[in-house]
Amino acid sequence: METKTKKRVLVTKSDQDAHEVSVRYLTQLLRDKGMEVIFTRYSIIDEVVKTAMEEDVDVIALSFYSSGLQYDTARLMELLKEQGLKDEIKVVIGGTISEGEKKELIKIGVDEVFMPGVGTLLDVVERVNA
Amino acid sequence: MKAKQSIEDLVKELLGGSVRAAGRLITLVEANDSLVPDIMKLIYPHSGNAYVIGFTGAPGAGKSTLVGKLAKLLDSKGKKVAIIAIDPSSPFTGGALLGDRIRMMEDVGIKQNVFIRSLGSRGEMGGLSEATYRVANVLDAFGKEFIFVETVGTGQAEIEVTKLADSVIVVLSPGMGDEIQTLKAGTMEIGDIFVLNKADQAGAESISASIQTALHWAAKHGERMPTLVKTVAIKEQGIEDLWKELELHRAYLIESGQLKIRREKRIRMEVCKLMEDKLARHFNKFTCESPDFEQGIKEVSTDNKNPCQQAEILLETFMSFLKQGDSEK
Amino acid sequence: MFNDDTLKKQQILEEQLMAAMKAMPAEAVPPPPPPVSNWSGIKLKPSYSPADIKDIGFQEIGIPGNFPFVRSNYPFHYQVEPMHMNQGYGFATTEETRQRREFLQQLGSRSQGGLVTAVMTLDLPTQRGLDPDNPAARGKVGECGCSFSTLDDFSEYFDGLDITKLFTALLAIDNALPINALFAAYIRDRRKENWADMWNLPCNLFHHQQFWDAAGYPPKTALKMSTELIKWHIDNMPRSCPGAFDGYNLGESGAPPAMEVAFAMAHTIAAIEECQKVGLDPNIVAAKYLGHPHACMNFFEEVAKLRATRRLWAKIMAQRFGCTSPDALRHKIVIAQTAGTELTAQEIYNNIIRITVMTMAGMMADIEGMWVVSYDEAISIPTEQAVKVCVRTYQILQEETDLPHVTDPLGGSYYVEWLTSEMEKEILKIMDEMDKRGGYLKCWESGWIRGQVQDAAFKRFKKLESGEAIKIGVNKYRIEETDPEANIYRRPIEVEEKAIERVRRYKANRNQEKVKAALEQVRIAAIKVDKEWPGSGGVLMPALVEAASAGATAGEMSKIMQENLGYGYFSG
Repeated sequence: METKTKKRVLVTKSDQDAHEVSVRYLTQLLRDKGMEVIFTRYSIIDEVVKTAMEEDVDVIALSFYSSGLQYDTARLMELLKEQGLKDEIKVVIGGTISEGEKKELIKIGVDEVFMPGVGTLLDVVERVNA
Repeated sequence: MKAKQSIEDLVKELLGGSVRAAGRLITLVEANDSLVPDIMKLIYPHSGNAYVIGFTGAPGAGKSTLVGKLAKLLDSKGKKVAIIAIDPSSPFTGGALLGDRIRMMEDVGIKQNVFIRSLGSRGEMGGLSEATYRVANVLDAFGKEFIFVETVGTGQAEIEVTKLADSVIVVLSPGMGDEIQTLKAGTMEIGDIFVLNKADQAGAESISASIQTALHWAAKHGERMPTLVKTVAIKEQGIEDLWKELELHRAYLIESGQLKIRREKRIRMEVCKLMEDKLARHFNKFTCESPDFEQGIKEVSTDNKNPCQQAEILLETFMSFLKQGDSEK
Repeated sequence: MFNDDTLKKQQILEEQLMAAMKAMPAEAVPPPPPPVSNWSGIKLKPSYSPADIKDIGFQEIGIPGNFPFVRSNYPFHYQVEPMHMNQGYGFATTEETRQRREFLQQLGSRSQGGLVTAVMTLDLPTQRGLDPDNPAARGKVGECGCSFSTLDDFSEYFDGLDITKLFTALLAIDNALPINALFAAYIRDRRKENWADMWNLPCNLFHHQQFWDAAGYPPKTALKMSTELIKWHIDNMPRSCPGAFDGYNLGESGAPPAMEVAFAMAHTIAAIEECQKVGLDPNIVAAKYLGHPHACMNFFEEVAKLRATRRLWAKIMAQRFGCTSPDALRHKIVIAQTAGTELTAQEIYNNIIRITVMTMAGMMADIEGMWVVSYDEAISIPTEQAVKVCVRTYQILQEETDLPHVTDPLGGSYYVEWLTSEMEKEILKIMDEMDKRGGYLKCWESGWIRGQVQDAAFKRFKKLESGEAIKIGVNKYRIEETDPEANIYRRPIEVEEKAIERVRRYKANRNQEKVKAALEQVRIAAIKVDKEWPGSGGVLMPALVEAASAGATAGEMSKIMQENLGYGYFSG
């Protein structure tokens, strides 16, 4: 296929959490790199998989500040697996995540985990684009 | 990495109701992939059933919310709805922030069957409407009965998109300051239904009166006069009225034969575009690969030949190149 | 401010200095310092002199405790009443929350009049009006806050506590009306006590939508919600502070100090005007407002901002609203909150120094109280260790240093008085800009406010990326080291299961007919607020209190309000 599609990235977070200044900044950085960024807030994590399929994205970038990390990530990976998308879509997660939780996330198939104080948003952009 | 799948398989999955296949095929047809003719060949027999509604209007009028609420209403009536949301791309990087989806998601979350797809306008004039047309075809084949196309509604490219719609809805809101300019700037001619959203705000009465006046001279030649519906989308007020008005317009289009005329126009546009694309592809090939072309250019620069004459001669060569190419195929 | 003689003397000194510099060989003259602006965009000179404040009339500065209160609301202050410690906390279990409250008491944390602070953060589902059994609450119940939805939850947390000795605030955001209705019903019906004895801060933050790009009530409805909350508290809980002059959330979202005050002030003016529509006296409403500003690392800019806010408030309340009561003219800054955005996840102990600087700015501006955040804010819900440092920060500044001995110690400083006036001008400039753009509500609706805040935030990010703005240990002097592992608080998963179980049981064991009837009254009241405003002002809160009393959950009440009042609004 000689398709020349732009990388499509779904950047998303829970709609209950208002901590999103840096998430929105990230969307701008990704756009400036030439990617097509779909930014959503989900009320239920299941929406993310539906959105990812409809928008045919290459990457899902999920941000957590305070709440729902364990349940939402486990459910996301489970649904991606169910849809046969686990190997097709890169999953990048950032937020207040501990080292122990990072290991757990990697174990369930998350591709990249960004913890507080580790790297910058520019590093995230690089990993998303990789 | 996305798995490579044959288009036959993808289309089979699409017809079987796979959201994932629909998403993937849209990416292919939107990008004007070389597979487009093959994809369209497979899809075309399954399309032609959907009714396409275009939404346009200045930013801030509440289009996305309105679209979301209408989709929610139709979904609750058991209709199958898809939304194509078009956002501008950055002219510099080509990247885009496709943000309209977020406003619709509030209403059209996981519970509904509404399919939403965001498209970047790629910052170019034209081309967008053809891509949107193909995307609509995929969604049509996917079994969607109503396809909403929402544009940012500021540029010519966006207005172009409405040409592929059966009904065009122009969304206005009070207090946008330049409402009268909006009415004069060409939007009045394209609308079949005008929606005054945020109709509970100050100034709604006066703008409503000026729209009513403007509607008299906004009627398209030989068509019925456009109508005005007042809504407060955020409070879900007037959405049912808008739906009734849409049904009336649809009935009118069918009875008057206008629907057929509009769709013919749309087909004309698509066919012309396909021809143009094919021609362009051959032309590119000719200019890049043909030794005759290279020779011709050289003659202009070294032998001081007249470029106009030379162009005529090369065009003749191109025509035979074209025939040759076709017969080879 | 100064007589001509003083100004003349100063001019002579400056001329002598210039002449001396000219006489020096060129290479001996130090290079001029690079130009500096503060975050609000005000250009700063290397030093200040009487000439810079000669045009500020003495009545603009006055004495502490006198109009326009720029120097302080009181003639003496920290000498007799230490700064109040109004830090919030909240855990998934009542047990942990009680432990934290007792720990704070043990450390000596105290709020006004020696009250015990019960500023409780609620979990995200509660803030949005979702009961624990709502599918959208899955995975989030009790994480980073308490879950409140029923009278039983109030019993769990408040039974056995003397409500007259608590300074309560339940951070319920969009759910503030139902939560405070439940609170009131709990006090009246279960405790059989008088809610007038409570000191409550009912979380009036309905305006958050203007700078958070999250769904909320539409602007006009937000003002009505604010009015409902204010009116009910004025009528029923005279000691409460139902008005919030909220700069903190603006600051955290990215607004520089002057912008923060301008938007908070514009909102407050609109909110007081809305209260006037339902017949409330601005003298009473303005007195019920508490200041909740942001405190960032620019020490002098913050001091000047806080002083300017007080002066501007006094003038606006007097001139625009004709307030005469001293209580209305005094802007009481009860909860200045140190900036979470200034803290770093790297080398987290450096945050203690940052917090100290921010807390000192509050003290130097003579404010009433602060929420000093903990050094681990960037990575976690505060640990006991971190909270201890918070309380000690107030105590050390108050009791080990000479900071509290003199009220407004920076008053009269050429620089501080000049900067206070410049900040005031800058705030007014932004407010004028809003007027030019069709007024505050227009600016909210069009997304202009959010755009301004976001642009400022992005500018700040860019500066941090380029190194123009500095974070020690992050973008400067960075060394690679493994920081101690962040101790991120996660509530045990059973908490959520128990909460779901509890709310289900609550819903099953109540008089369903009574609940239905009471919720119908809420629906009628919500429609009235929507359609018959301002005539209907004050009908919603009483209906909610009765619904709460009948056994309705916060989620059920919120749902009716959201359906009838247009929840889900986005500006722009």
